[in-house]
Order: sequence, then C-alpha cells, then structure tokens
Amino acid sequence: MINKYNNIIAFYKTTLPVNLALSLCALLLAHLDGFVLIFMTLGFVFSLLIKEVNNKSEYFFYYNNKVTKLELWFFSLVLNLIVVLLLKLLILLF
Amino acid sequence: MKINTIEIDSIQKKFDHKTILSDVYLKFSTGEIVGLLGRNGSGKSTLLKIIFGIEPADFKFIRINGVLKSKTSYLLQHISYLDQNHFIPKQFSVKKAILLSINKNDTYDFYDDAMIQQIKSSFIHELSGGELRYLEIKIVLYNESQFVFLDEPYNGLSPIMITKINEIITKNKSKKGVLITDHNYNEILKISTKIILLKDGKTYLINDIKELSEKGYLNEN
Repeated sequence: MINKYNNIIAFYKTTLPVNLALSLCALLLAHLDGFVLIFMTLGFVFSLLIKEVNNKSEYFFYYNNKVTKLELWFFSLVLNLIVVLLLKLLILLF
Repeated sequence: MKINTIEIDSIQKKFDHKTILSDVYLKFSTGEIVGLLGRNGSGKSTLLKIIFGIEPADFKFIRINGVLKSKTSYLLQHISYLDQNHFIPKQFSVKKAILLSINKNDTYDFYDDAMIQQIKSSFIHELSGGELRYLEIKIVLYNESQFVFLDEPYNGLSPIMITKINEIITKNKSKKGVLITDHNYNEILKISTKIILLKDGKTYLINDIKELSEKGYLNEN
C-alpha cells in the first residue's frame, strides 16, 4: 500500500516556500508573534491559493495516490501547527 | 487474477441550464480498453471527472463490483486519472514521483524499461513533454487502482511516442480496465476492445466504424 502520509508530507513541503517567505517578512516586521500568525493563516492560505491558480493539475498526482484535496489541506494545517508548537518549545528551552 | 467491473448509469449534468450529459451508460471490466469518442465540447472530460469523483453531477450512479460508490474518497480508491495537463509536481525528482506512487513490489518491474532507465536520475522539470507523458501514463497504469481513465494521452506526442504509449497500455490491460479518450481516433480504434461515442449527452455503442460517419463524428467520405 502506498503510504498516504508520505504523499501528504510531500505536498506540505511544496506549500513551504511561499508560506515561509511571507512569514519571514512578518518576522522582520512583527517579531515571532507575527511569524506564527502569518505562518498559520495568511501564508498558508496564500500558498494554497497560488497552487490553486498556477498548479491545479498537480492535485491529480495526489488523487491518483488516493489522497483527497481536503485531506491534503487538513493534514498540512496540522503539520503547520506541529511546526509552530515545536518552534515555541525550542524557544522556551533555549 | 480478479476481474473487476465498473458500471456507470444515469449521469446527468447541466451547465447554465444547458444539458451536457443526460443518458450515459458504460460498463467495462479488467482487460477491456474502452475508447470514448466525441466531438470537442461533447462532455468527454466532464464525464471522466464525474466518474472519478472530482466534478459534481446533478445525478450519478456508479457501481464497482456491484457496490454503489458515490463519495470521492471511495472512488479514488478504485480509479486513476490521467489529466490532459501534466500533473506530477515539477520540483519532484522522477525517483520521488515513482516512490510516492508505486507499490514496492512493483518497483523492479516499473524500472525494467529503457525509457524509465534513461530518465530515472532527472527532475520532472528537466523532462521533455513526451518523456513526462510516458512517465505519467506508466504511473497510472502501474499504481494500485482497478480502473484507469486516460484523458487525451496522445496530445502533442510524436508517432514513435504514441506507439510506445499504446504498447504500455496494451501490456497492462490485463491488470486494469482502461477508459481512454483522445481526438486521435485512429490510435483509439487500434487499441480499444470497445468503442463508445458520446453525442448530445448520450452514449452509443459503436459496432462498426461506418456508424461513426452515420452519427456525424466522421465525414461521410
């Protein structure tokens, strides 16, 4: 069985360049809280929007691996949350 | 080998009060290649996307092995779809695309191919249109689905590439039921075991090529 979660992680990685670019801008302007806010909301939504406009046919790759669009979006949001929590934990520790 | 059967009936679809699909019936099984022909705008791609589960329909009835399936997540378990546009993310390597799509047990057989050997170390964005189409078709034919829909697989390909693609479709038909649509009807006629014409939203089983002229798909002479 093809690992569904490997496909979700591969999709998540493709959302990161746009999301991180926007979030790093927010980090410069509004420090860590700004980074977290944009990373979880606007940056993520904007990366999906760009995908929807420019690379919509790429979803067929994941459909053919039995992953729906809703699953890709939902689990990517969960991964975003995990990244933010890990980041906050690291900052607390060091 | 298990024979799987898909039955599609009573699909209805309207766009802005215009009926696109009204009386569609299709049934095919593992080992069959069904050629779906129809003029531009006849609704072939819409029909394939409705069956695949990503396009809503006013009404649809899809049974796989006798079991009614309507949710997209269920349909994706059984069907693969080759879109008209290239669909493998460009930033992926060929190896990554194969790793994410093909079962480990089938990997050796998948790589046992001169063209795949030639491109296996490349990135998707480095491939020519023909090489990428070949890879995409091979992936949808080798993945775990029971049925595969090929929407315009020959689009923009050279005759040599079309021959290679016909070879892999024919080689893999014993594992899957194939539904193929393309405007290159000569190639469709070559490989299909059954021909269906989609006209005015209805499907017609074609038993003789003359019927394609009678129904206005081909010129009379």
